Amino acid sequence: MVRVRYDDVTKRYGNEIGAKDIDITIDDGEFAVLLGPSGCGKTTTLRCLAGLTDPTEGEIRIDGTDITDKHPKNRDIAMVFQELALYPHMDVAANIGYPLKVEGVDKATRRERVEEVAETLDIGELLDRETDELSGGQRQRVAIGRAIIRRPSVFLMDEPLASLDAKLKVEMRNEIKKLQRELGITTLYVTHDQEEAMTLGDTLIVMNDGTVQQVGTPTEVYHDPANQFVAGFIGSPSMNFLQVRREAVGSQRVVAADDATFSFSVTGLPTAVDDTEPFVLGVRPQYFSVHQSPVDGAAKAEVTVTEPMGDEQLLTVQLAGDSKELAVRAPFDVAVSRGDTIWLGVSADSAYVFNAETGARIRQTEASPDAAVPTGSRP
Amino acid sequence: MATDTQLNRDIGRTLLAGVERIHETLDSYGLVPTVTNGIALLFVVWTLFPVYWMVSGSLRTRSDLLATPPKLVSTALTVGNYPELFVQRPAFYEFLFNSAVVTVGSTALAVLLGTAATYGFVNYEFPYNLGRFHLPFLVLTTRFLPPIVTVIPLYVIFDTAGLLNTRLGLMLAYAAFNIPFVVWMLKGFFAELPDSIVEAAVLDGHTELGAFFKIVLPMVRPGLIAATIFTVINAWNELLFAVILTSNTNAQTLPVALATFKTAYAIQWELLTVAGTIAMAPVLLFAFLVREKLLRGFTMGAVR
Amino acid sequence: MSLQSNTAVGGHYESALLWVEDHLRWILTLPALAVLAAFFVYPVGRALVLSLYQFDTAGRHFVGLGNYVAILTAGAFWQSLWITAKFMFFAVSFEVGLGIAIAFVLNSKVRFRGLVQTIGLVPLVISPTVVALLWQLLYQNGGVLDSLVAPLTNGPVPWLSDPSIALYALVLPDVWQMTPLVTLIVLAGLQSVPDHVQEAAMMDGAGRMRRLIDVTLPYIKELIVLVLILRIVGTMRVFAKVFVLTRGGPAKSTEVISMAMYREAFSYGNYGRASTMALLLLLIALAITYAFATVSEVEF
Repeated sequence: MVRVRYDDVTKRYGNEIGAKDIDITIDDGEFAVLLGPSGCGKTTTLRCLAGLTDPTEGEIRIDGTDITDKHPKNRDIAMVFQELALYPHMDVAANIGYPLKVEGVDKATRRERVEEVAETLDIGELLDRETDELSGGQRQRVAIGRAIIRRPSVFLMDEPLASLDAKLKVEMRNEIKKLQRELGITTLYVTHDQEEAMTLGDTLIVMNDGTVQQVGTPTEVYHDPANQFVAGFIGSPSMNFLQVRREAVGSQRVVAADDATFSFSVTGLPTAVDDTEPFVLGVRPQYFSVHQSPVDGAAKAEVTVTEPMGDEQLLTVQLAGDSKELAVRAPFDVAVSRGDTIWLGVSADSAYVFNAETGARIRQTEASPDAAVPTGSRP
Repeated sequence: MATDTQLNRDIGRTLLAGVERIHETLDSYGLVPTVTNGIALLFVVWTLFPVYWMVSGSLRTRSDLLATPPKLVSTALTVGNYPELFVQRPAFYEFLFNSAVVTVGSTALAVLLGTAATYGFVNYEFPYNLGRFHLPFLVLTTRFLPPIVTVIPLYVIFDTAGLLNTRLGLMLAYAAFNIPFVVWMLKGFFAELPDSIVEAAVLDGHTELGAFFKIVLPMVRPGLIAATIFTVINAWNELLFAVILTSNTNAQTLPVALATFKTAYAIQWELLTVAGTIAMAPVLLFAFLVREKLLRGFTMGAVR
Repeated sequence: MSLQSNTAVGGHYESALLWVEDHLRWILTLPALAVLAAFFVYPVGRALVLSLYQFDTAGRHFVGLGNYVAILTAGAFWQSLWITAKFMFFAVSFEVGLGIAIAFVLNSKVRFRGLVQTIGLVPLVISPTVVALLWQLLYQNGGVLDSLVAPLTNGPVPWLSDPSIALYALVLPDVWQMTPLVTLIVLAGLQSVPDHVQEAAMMDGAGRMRRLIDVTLPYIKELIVLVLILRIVGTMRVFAKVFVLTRGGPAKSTEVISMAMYREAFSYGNYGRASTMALLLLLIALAITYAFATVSEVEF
């Protein structure tokens, strides 16, 4: 049982916040992914667990034991670095076996374990090579091999796939996931790539500006984002955000928050936004319904770019009277081209509502009787 | 200032134009390789002749060596001068020994302390930007400082500290003067190391200090070797400190012995050439063995 | 070993370990800093104190700024600075000029270039003391150099004993020893000019001289500044050659600053005055260092 617990961990660099009030738990055998844009504090959070960075406040516990003041080498943690950090003056076998050598394991046992690990990672025939003779993917495997050979209680990875090309990335991703399942080692993985995070993680820990925004399964963070940041960060292309307000108190029509340049109907909005205060409406590109003739309650828009993508197409459109561009996914058979006018419908159950100032999610408080009007092109 | 630069540039251009004209003229007769090879040969002769003259002198009799006009090649070679030096000046054993001890000791000290300090300054944060901004200037100053500036007060300090005329004192002084040099040579090597290498070593079970010895030092080995070579040569060759801080065979080194070899009457050239050859031989042999590293060392930092 | 047992047994070990790690930057740097402080900072401080005293047969007594006044008003200090400057000027000009020229020659198609380069190392690794002896032997009355110039002169040349020649007779060994340094550094710079850049310039129609100015020179400009600095600093501290060959004579004609200070301290025993000169020289060295550090783009 290896359970990692961050207890209100904060790291400051002088006056700057590296990570603030990190309060998370990673369960035994869980694959947790720290996800966020660069500079969000995810690497700082990871390094605090490794012991490479000292938290300013808070405690980190592994299985209830406070390890905050333990030397990194005594934490039983292994890490794969973004730069891989292979030892250039050692060959592949020496690199992989190095942690055991430091531990004082005898040569024969070491060799045996190195071969075992290399077999698992499919690099058995590379053991006598020098590290600078390896391809990117092979170097990756060596770095992973060096990390797992000790069977650490916690396994950390800091953007390990960042330097690989797209195809190799997918391949290594699958392999890492499989390996983690087989070994059952509690894993914390840092990435800025949401696709990588979604495919790898049991749990995503989304961070921004040094704080945790949401912790949840990939499905939860995608379909039930806690706030506007998470909603915008997860999903590609990103969720569209519109600054809007109700036309009148209790009205089903929403209009642009500033000067009412566009308007459309959304039935079943949360009662929390019943007045005419502005709020943010978030709609994923595929949740618009696209019409080629005027439809009651739909907003008029002009197509500025079309990108065919096979089964569907990605449209960039501009709402009539507004400069903001929206990304819209439509089925391939909707015949539109640049300059065409379309009408976009939005349904409340596929739209998200956020507080205009804080970005906090405003949830449906009661089931709306007439929620399901246009369902759009939801797959 | 501006006109000076302009003038310099004009002079430069005129010179270059002259060189180019000569080059073209030679080229038209197909003489360029002859001339360049000729100059190279001249350079080689000019460089080697003084050394040849001393080494060959050590193998000649006094009259043969000092004959007028000089005999460029001698037929009557003898090795008798070598034992003769040690018979007449038995202290040379001690000079040799002192030189060796001081060279080895000061090199070990300078490389060890210099390497540790460079790594510390390059890889850690220090107050007041000590590592990033002030250190290079400090090193530069101590590197450029004429040693005579410190050696006079050092004589007085050594006098009270009882370090005058000791090998230890000389060793420490040489180490001090070579530390900035070691820092200067190693800075680039450490700056190129990625931080994650040390972090990886720490997670692989090392202490940071252990990682420095086991991982970092092997990675900067070329730099360490270069720094060691230069420190050895510096220490073996040094005169100023040695001549001031030592006064008898307890600690005097070969250069001191050579510089004060003259007697009141005449220089015993047949013996002095032996002593000079003995002083040159180890560094020349050493330089030949590590010539590739030495070449790179002399041009290091210069070419990047 | 599980984490729990580790803390139970290794509490002291762990805290000692963490203390070392936390203070590692000081553990690594303080020994060297201490040595530097003891051999650079402290002596300079000591020199400051010494410079306020007069040393003579009666012992030492406080003279305040008397040494400074005496040195700056008497001609001897300025004279030795002037001699140092002359030595510096001639030595550096020849070393840099010849060194660059030879580097260009070696950079063209020359046979056995590697061997020639290696031979260039020979003077560089020999002790200046030995270099002085090499040349003293060549300067022997009726020796090699005399017979070399015999067609031009009547009789042997008093190389080291004529006050009007002696300084140049000191420049020559320095030029012999240090020219290869300039050559090696500049040659390395020339060889770092990528062929394709030269070829591109050739395709652009640049002649030999244009290529030299526009392509080659920018590559070696920094290096030339570097060797200039190295040699200026190197000649400023010249001692061994003077000490062996002339001891500052004849008639003080070769008494460079190091030699003058040596004599003041160890012939006359006047450590106060010698320390004063040391401090003045330190100021000059600092000024030169600072000027180069700020003006040049060379990274140290």
